[in-house]
Amino acid sequence: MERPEYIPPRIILAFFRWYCHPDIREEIEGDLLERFHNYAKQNNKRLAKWFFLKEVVQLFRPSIIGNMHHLTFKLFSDMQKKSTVFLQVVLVLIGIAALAVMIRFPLTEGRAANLDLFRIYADPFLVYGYLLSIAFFVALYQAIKLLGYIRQNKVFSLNSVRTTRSIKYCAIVLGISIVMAGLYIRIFHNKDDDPAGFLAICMVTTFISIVVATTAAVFEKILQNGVDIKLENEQLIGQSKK
Amino acid sequence: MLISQTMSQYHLGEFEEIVLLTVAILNGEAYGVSIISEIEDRLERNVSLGAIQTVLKRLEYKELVKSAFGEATKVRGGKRKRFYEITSRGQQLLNKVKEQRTSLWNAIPKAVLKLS
Repeated sequence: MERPEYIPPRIILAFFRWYCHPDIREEIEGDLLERFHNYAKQNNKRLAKWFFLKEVVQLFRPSIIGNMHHLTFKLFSDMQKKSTVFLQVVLVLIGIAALAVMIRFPLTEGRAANLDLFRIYADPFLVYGYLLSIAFFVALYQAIKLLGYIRQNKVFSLNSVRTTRSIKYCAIVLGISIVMAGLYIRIFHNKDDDPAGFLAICMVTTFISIVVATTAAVFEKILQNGVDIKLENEQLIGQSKK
Repeated sequence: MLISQTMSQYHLGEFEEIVLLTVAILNGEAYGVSIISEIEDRLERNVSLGAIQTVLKRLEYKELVKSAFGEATKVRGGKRKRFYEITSRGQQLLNKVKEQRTSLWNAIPKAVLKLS
């Protein structure tokens, strides 16, 4: 395809391509680009972009959209592929960073100065923290898996429902355990140390876990509904074939 | 087609009439952009691409115009033009509309027109 001299805003053009019925897309897109070109030539480019947006919005009407069978979310599919990989990389990096902090942090603590390696890591509270982190890493792994399903267009599958469910459980477990740790420190170690900082961290992490758990629960519900509809459709199609 | 079946086949709206006339004026050179600029030049009114395309599809559904793909140009990003041409049915309807208008004009008493 030859590239025109003036190029309209991509996102607006993508929006047009998304809603316009495929049967009439070519000629209208051509008209749009030609009008944009003429306008950009006569006025300045910035005004032309606004003009283009106006035209695309005015085209958003039933006769142009047609029967809506083509209205899927393909617009985002290319973007989706890149962004899922990016998010997966980010999640892996978060995991590595968390692991590094967990291993390094006890060594830099003040009380580590007089202890050998085994005693540093054998502290019951640290062990508790490490056990908890299993839930965190499982959730992280599941999130990476879920992104993989999104990339393969398998969002509405039982696997992804299971994945979101386990993320939800991990977040709940994490939240409850952190609250328990916070309460333990608040009640039994109130006097000998100032627990304010620790409690603040507890509150923030608990809040994050609650948010994650809620989001995961909502997604689980949506995905489950999607899968149910899909299964029903498949059954209907199967019946009609018989 | 995309337009609903219930729509009247014979009635011609004001804008439909203008577009149909313009298609006839342009004589084989009528496609979205050229129709818009022709209407804007002759009638001094702003026309959006959305309005034109909707009306063109409707006219085609009513079989008053027919269309075919034309050439693609660089400014169109390699997309082909769709040229519209008036059908015999469209010509008949235009004639009919013109006759109706003329008879309406002729029916106005002379005194009424003098007043304005």
